[in-house]
Amino acid sequence: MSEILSVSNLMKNYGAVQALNGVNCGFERGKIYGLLGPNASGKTTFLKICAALIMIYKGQVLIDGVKPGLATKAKVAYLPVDDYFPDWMKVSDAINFFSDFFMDFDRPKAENILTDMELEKSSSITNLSHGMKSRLKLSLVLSRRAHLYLLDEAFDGVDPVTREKIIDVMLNTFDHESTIILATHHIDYVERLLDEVKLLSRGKIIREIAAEEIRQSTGKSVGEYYLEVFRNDKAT
Amino acid sequence: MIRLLKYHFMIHRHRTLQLSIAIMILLAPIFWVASLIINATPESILNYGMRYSFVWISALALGYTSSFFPINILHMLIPVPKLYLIITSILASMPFLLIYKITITILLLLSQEYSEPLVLSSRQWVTVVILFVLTQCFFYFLLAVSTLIKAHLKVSKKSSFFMLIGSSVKGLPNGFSSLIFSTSIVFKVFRELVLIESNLTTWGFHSFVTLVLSVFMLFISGYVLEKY
Repeated sequence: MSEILSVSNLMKNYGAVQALNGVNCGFERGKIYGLLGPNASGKTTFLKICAALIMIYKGQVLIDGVKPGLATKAKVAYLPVDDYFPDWMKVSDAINFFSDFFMDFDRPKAENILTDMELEKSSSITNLSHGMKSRLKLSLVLSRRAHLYLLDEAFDGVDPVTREKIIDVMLNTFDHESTIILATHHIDYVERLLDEVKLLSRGKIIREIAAEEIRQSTGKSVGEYYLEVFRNDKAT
Repeated sequence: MIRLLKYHFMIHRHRTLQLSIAIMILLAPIFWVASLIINATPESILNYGMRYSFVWISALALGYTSSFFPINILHMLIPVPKLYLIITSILASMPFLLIYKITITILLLLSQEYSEPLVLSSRQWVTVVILFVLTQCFFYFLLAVSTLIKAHLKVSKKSSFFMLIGSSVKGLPNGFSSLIFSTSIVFKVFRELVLIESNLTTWGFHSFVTLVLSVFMLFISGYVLEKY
């Protein structure tokens, strides 16, 4: 399978703080990846570089063979942690915004997902709860027919029932020509989604392994495996 | 382009308009007090200066609020060049000058009891528009400079002193204190450039220079924000 994203020797400093310290990895089409690691391990910085939000870094990042920039924004769907919709918008305005500016936005798909998420188009965004805003952001991002989805803490503030609903939506709508990278702490929630995990620690990829291989070779869940790796990592 | 204009118009309608009116309301009592002072000494140079300063400062304030260019993550993510975003934002803010004109006319009418009526000529209104555009370009330029400093300081480990300067510049377009600071810079630097009472040739020349400067700042801002 061909790689949609390839990263070599990626480094990023914030002043004296080294957020990424020589990341080398590749992401294949048709897979869902878990980018897992403790706080300040560099997950968000990594995703922001891939989304062309951070332009100053060392090393090489290629999305479909192209450096992140204006061209790749059309094929990368990024879900940030922060709420980014202006308060004056209604749900329908947010749909129109995505429809206007992202050519790959699938409006019927969006409307189906929003119905599943129990979001009213006439609702004002300012009146939505944190969980409802998370649902909206995720619904719109998943409604794009992007090549690469970068989801940063997609399930923050989402209740367990909705979370299961979102995971079902993701599994049902996943296009096997695209790739999803999920950065999250809620490993147990997303375990059934993951094909492969990449463990990030202090700005470096320390393990790359298929989720199925973890289960078969260690008899542990991805969450248990993560705890074991990072307990040992902290001890060293 | 049309979609961007429509979207920016909505942003200005919802946000800038409220801010602009709030600023006008805040400035109204100041103007009223100033009128009282002027009325006490009508021959004073202050009379002329204060009234025109009000027009200038309000134009700058409106320009400042309009230049709250929506650079949040959502706008960074859409596949549109930053220069287009800035230009459409400025164009979409233009209709709100009409609101400014109406507000200022009402304020001037209210103040007639205390001072001479002040009616701005068409040339003076053009000056206000130029100043309005200049102010917006100036703030995008500040944003670009702060982005540039921030990007470079973060990758090359400079001293904490320079980091501090970087942080201050970064916050410049955001706070109230920076509003006063930045506005006063624009006001002082460009007041002499676009003299309201100068002769037509001088006025035309200075207006031209100011517009060229605005376009220059606009392109620099677009380039820097795109690259960093």
